[in-house]
Amino acid sequence: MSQSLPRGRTVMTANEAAAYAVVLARAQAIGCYPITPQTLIVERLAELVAGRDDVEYANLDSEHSMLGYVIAASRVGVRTFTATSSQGLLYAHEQLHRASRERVPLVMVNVNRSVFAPWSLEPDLSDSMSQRDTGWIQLYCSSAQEVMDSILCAYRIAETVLLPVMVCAEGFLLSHTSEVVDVPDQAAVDAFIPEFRPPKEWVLDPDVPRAFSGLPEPKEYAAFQRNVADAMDEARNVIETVGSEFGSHFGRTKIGALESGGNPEADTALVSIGTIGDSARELLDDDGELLIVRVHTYRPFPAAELSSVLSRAGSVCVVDRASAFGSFGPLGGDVRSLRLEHASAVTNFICGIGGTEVTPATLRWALHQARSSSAARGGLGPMYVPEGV
Amino acid sequence: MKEMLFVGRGGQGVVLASQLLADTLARAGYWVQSFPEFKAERRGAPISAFLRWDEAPIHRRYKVRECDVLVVISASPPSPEIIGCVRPGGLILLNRETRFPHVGPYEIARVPGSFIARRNSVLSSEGRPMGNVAVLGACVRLLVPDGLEFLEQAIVSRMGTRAEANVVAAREGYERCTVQRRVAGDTAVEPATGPAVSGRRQSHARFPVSRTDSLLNHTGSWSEDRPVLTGECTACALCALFCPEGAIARTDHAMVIDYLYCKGCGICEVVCPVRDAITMEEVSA
Repeated sequence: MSQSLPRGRTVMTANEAAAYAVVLARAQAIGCYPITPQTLIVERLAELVAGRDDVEYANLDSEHSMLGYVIAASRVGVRTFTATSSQGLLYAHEQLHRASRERVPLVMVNVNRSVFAPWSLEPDLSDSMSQRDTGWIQLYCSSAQEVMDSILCAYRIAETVLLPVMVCAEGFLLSHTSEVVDVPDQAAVDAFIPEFRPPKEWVLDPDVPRAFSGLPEPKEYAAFQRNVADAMDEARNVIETVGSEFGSHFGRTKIGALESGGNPEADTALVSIGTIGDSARELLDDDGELLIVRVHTYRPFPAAELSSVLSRAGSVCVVDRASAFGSFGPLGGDVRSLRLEHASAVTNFICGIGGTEVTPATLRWALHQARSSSAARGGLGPMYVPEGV
Repeated sequence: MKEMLFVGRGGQGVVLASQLLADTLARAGYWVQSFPEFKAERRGAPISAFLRWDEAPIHRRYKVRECDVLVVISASPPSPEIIGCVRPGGLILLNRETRFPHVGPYEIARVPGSFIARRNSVLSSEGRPMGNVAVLGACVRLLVPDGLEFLEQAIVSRMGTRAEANVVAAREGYERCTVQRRVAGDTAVEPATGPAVSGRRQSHARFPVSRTDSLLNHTGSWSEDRPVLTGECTACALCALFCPEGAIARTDHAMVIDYLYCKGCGICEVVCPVRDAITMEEVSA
C-alpha cells in the first residue's frame, strides 16, 4: 500500500476516507485498538504513517487504555486521533466522561455497530447514542465524503471549544462502502486547520508539575460541569461557522447542524439521522408534500435550527436507528422536547436495528402511520417498524 | 441507476472484484457505490458484494436485493434464490467454461475465469486460481466496452506487484467473454421462494440461544475443495491446531479429517510443515 495520499476524485471507503482525513489534519498521536468494522481505519493509518518520526502510532491493550493514551497525548499539546466501534466505545465509557470534563479536544471516529447481546457486526446507532450525555460533540455522517469533511471540521471545532468530537459513521453502509470521494490538497487543509495551540495552563509540562483533575470542593466541581455545558453551547455557533468556512474553502456543501430537502412548506416532515437521511431523498421523487431533515450534529442538539425548519410542519415523523427501552428513541425524544409552532403530532419510529434494512418502503410505512394513524399520535413511546414492510 | 450483485465464497476475491469494478466505473466518469454483505468473515463462507453506478450521485443506503446484473465468481452455479434476484431484462455472468443449460428473462454470459487465472498463474496464496479479475474483464466487455483501460488502471492502482498478471487475465476475460445462445433443451430455473441472499427468517425466539444442536451445522456442505491426507503425513497435528472448524483430530498417531465439518478452507494445507502430506482435491458435485 502506498504512503502517498490520493488527490481529487478517488474511489474509497469511508474507513479509508477517515484515515486520509487524519493524515491531512496532521494528527501526531494515534491510539489504536482494532474492532470490526472500524479496524480498516487504523490499519490504513498504520501503513500511512509507518516510518514517520513526526507521528506516534500506538497499539494499546484496550479501548479504555486507548482513550487514556490520546487524552494524555493531547495534554502534551499534540493533535490526536483514535477510532472504535460498539463494545470498544462502551468499554471506554468512563474515559469519554473524563475527556469532555477535562476539556480535551480529541477527535474520534465511531463506526457504528450494534451492541452485544446477541452479537452483531451490523450497524445501528445504539453504541454512540447511548454515549450522548458524556459531553462529546457528536456528528453523524451519511457518506464517505462527509466522513472525511466532518473529521477535518472536527479538529477545528474541538480545538476551538476544547471539547472532544465523535464523528459517527454507520458500519458497512459507510465504513466498507466504496464510493467517490473528493480528496483536498494538503496545502488547502493546512490553510483550514491551524496548528493546535492548547491553553498554557492546560498542558502537561514536566517543568511545572501540577495536579490535574484533583478533588475540588462541590461548588468547584459543579462549576467545571457547567463549563462543559457552556462549551457545548459555544460549539453551536462554532460548528456553523466552521461548516460555512469549510464549504467556501473547499467548494463543498456546508456541513453544519442539519440538512433539509424537499418541500419546505409541506405539512409532513421526516426527521432522521445518518444514512437513513440519505436514503430518505428517494421519497422526494414521488412525494411533493414532504420535507426531509437529516440531523448532522446530534450533540449539541440543534434545537433552534430544527424548530425553525420544522416550524410549518403539522406532522413530524422522527426516525431513530437506536434502541430505546422504556421511552422514545434518542432523536424522537429530543425532537418531541422542541416547542414546534404548528405540529399537532410528533411521532417516533424505530427501524434499522441490528443492520435491518431501511428502504424507502420502511420510511413510507412510518410516514403512512404518522399521517393517518391516531394510534401513533401522542403515544407513550416509539413505534417499531415491522420488518419486511 | 444500475444495480449489480456479486456472489461467491470467502477467499475468491468477491469484494475486491466489486471494488475494482467500482473504481473502473468511476474512472469512466460514473458515480459508484460498492459494498460487501458482511457476515463472519471466514474463508469458504458465502459472500456477496453490491455495486451501484449512475450518472448522478447515489443516495441509496441499503443492500441490493434485486439487480440488473448478477456476477457469479465461484465456479458452482448460482442457486435459484440468487437467480431470482435478477430483474427481467437483466444479465447473469458466470465464471464457467461450459454452457449453463437454463433460460429465463435475462441474458446469460460466460467467461472461463478460473481457467484464465490458472493459465496466467493468477493464484491465491494456497495456489488456487483467482478467477475474479478475468470475470471483471468480461464485466467490462458487457457493460462498458470502452472501459478496459480504466479496469487496467484500477488493477494497477490496487494490486501493486501482482498487477501485471492480473491485467493479462483481465484482458483475456474481456476477449473470452461469450453471451450464451439459447438451445433446445435449456430449462427454466425453478423459481425460489423466500428471501434471496440472507438466511431464511424464523419466528423470533425469546432468548438469544440457538435452538438446534450446533453439531447439526454441517459446514462441510460449503466445501468446493477438500484436503486429503497422504502417506507423507507425520501426524504432527499442527493442522488440527489451526483448523477453524475443529474438523481434524489425531487418533492413534494418525490424523483424521471430519468432512462433515471441513469447509475446505485449505488452512491445513498451508500450515502443514511436511511436503505433500495434504493435497487439496476438488469435491465432485
